[in-house]
Amino acid sequence: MGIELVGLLAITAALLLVLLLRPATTRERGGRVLAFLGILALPTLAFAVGFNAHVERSKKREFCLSCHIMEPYGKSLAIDDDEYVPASHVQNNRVHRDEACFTCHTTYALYGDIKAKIGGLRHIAVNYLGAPPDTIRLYRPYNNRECLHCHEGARSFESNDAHTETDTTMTAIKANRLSCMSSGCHDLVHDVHNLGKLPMWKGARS
Amino acid sequence: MTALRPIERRIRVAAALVLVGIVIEAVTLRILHPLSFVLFAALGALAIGAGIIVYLLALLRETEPGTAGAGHDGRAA
Repeated sequence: MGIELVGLLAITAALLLVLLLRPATTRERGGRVLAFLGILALPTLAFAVGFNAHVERSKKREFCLSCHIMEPYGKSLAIDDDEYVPASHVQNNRVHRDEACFTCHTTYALYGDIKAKIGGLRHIAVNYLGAPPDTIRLYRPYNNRECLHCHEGARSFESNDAHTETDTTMTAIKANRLSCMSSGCHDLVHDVHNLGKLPMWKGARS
Repeated sequence: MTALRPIERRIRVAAALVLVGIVIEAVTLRILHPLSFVLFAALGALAIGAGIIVYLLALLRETEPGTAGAGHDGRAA
């Protein structure tokens, strides 16, 4: 929580306490201004700033992994094998480590962040009100757009032999007709059911 | 100690509700967990919103002609 938000909440709370303990102050013009600020203007601002702070915090890896069910997915980021896409991305800083989950699981489209957050609310409902499945699956197949957000235009992607194998391969990848996660391509992801059998990178942050 | 006028009682209720919302916001911002976001967005927003509505209704009732509490100096408008 930033110092500005702490200050805003403290000032708002102080004004509200004055109004709560001495509501008769609103008999004066200054008291009425105080009521307007304390009950309407500052709380509205504090809520907007607080909402934004909550949304920003929800992008943190720590936030996603705070639910017990997500723990194995966090551990899978330490798999010591470059073939595992999430692990190699995190360990090689291809994504920001603190926002690793959000970076790959948001939608890089209009209102993508909002859709991701609404999806998150659905996760909470399933986790606490329903029965979470043994294997968590994506609501929709992973869209290449999310990979291409970073990789498109990169030399390692554009000139990769497998990506230019035929005349149509690259076009199919970019049009999401050929999934990046097709069998034999980048199909090793979290693999949470085999974590015990896989080597773990000791240098990985827990 | 003078008795509170109706608008002052309503302002006190509004201030209490908004204060509850602000406390919920402060507490939930200290906890990094999805449920803290839900608590903030549901209970915090509800308390702040209800407080603001009570405040606006208090102002409306105060300015309504013929109401006992009309006028800021205690006189009917």
